[in-house]
Amino acid sequence: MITINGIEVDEKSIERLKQRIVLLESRNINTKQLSDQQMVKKIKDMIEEEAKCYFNQ
Amino acid sequence: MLLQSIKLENFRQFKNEQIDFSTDWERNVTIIIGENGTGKTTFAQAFFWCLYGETDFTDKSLLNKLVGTDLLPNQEAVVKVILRLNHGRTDYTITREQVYKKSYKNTLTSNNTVLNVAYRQEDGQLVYLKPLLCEAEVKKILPRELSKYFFFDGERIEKMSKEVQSGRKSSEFAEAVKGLLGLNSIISAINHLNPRSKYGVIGSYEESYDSKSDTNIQRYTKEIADFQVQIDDIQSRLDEIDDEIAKATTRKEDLSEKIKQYAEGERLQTEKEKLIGKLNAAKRSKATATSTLLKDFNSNMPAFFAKSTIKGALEVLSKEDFLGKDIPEMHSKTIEYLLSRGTCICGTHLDEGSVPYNKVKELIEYLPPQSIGVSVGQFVKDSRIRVKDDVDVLTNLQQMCALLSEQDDNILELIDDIKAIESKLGGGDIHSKVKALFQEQQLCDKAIRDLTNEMKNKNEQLGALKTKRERRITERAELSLRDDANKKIEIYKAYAQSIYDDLITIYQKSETVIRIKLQETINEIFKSIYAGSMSLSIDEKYNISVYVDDYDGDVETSTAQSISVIFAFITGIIKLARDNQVSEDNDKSMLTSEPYPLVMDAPLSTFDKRRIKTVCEALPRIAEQVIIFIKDTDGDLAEENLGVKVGCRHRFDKLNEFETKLM
Repeated sequence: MITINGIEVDEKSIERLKQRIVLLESRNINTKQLSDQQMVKKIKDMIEEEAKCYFNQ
Repeated sequence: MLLQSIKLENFRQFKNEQIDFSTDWERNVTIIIGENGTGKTTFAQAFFWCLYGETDFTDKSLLNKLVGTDLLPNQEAVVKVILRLNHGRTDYTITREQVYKKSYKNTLTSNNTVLNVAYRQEDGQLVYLKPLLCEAEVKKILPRELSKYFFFDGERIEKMSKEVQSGRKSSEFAEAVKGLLGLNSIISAINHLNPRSKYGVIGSYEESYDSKSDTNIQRYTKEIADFQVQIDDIQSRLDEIDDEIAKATTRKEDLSEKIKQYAEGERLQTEKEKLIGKLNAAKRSKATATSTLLKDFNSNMPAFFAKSTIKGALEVLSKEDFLGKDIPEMHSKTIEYLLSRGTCICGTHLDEGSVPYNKVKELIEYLPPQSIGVSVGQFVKDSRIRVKDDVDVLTNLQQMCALLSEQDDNILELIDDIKAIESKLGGGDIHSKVKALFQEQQLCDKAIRDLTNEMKNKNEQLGALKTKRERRITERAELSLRDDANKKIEIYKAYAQSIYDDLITIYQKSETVIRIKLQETINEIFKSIYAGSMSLSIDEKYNISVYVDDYDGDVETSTAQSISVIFAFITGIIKLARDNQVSEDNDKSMLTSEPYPLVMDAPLSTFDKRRIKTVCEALPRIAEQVIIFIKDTDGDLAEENLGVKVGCRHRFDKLNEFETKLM
């Protein structure tokens, strides 16, 4: 657990998110399916989903 | 990126020609053979033009000359290059075209070039990019800064080698290399998370706080945004200052080098100025001598030329005795009066024709106004002086002529010396050039001082702003936690910020690892081509330094070494990019890169036989795709060394000076 601006965040979740986001970027560089704004939305969805999962636990 | 085909329409000598490239995994070499002047370089340049709208041609008009000549007034023709390639898992069609129109004055005018990029997605859907996005897309496929290394001209390979060793490459070059080596996914993720953009993940969270629960949240958010704008401005200015200081420092170093080069020139310039001074003095002296000579000549020469006449006259006069023939105080008019009166003073009748008459009449010849005795006496006296002076005039004249001749020789010698110095100097006034260089160097110093001061001030401002922003962020976070909706945003933002910070660290670490790996790869290739005790090192800006093992410091490279350096650099990048692409190593899981082709115009012309063999063996092994434009005389060499790897062969046939076809 680490603290960012007074908020505690789960390190394992951060690690998972990093991998998933970079893979998503990698895939999109190759396929060009999503625009920049769609990518931003997708990353936000991934973060929110992961954060919710952690807090639901 | 793998090239599939290129089609040229009305592009210089190619009216409508297409080349398909080998994309076969095993036989990955495409050879295009042609005699000199068939258009191999033109075809190679077509890649550049299609991607970046530029060529190295001196004649910027690209329209086929025959097509241009056949155009009628107000008619148009289009120059077009269509490049088909695969990048990632996407097939691209990149088209650049330029419309030429003939005026009624029979001149051709051209519009700006137009770039179009279309790609086919995995589901088969064809997508046309908006015009504004096309250049950025091309940059993603192959950054312009790196393009010349992938589309390179063998005849300019040495110049390129000097460039990679120059230490003057732009930061864009380093970024381009990093992207190519597999950091693009991390760079994209960092860009998408970017807290500086309100369209990025973190930036958009900043914009989504609900201020209804507490009005201070809205105020703090606005203040944080304002601080951020100011921080960004300062950061951007600091980046500019960095660049400006780097440029001014580089320029200063250039100037120092030039001043050093001019040192010998300055010495010669001083010598030249001394000689010019001597020449002017010699010319003045000659002018004075000439003037004196002419003056003497004008005043003394009539006597000189009259000498023989005078001598003759004196000789005649010496035979005559004029003494006592004239009568003192008597005038010829007296005689004329006596003759007309008919009576002499003595009373003798003077009858015309009589003896007394004739005797008296004879006296006229000896009486004034021309008293012959007096005149002859004066004449003899004057003549003797003139004849005596004449000796000095001649001697003076001879001495003056000798002096003039000596001065002429001196002037010619000085002119020869000045010309010799001028040929060494190469024209121009070195002193004024050096003075201008010193002045520019002082300006650089001043600019560096001013910029350094500005940087110091900006850094102080930046620190203060960051502290203020952090304080507001903490205050807002405390307030946000009191409201559920805002608390969620705060949590999501904290996650995003944590990921962003981690990715920045990973990027920096990976970049260092990749650079070291690239250095190892390049050295491996360099040593396989150039057998010797030399090694290469790469700095943060991806500049290459060549050094001899066990010797401290850079060394000047020979042509063969330079060729090997650039070849090792290009193939090293390609090899590493390819390794990253196929690697399943967990350490590299965040690295994604592309295979890249090598398009080479006359690559073998600069290599010797041994290196041709090494290069030909290495090329198809290292690069995913090799495209070689080669002259017919090198064709056998290429076949001998690349034969089994050649997947496609093409040959150019020159129909005339303005048209080449593909056989």
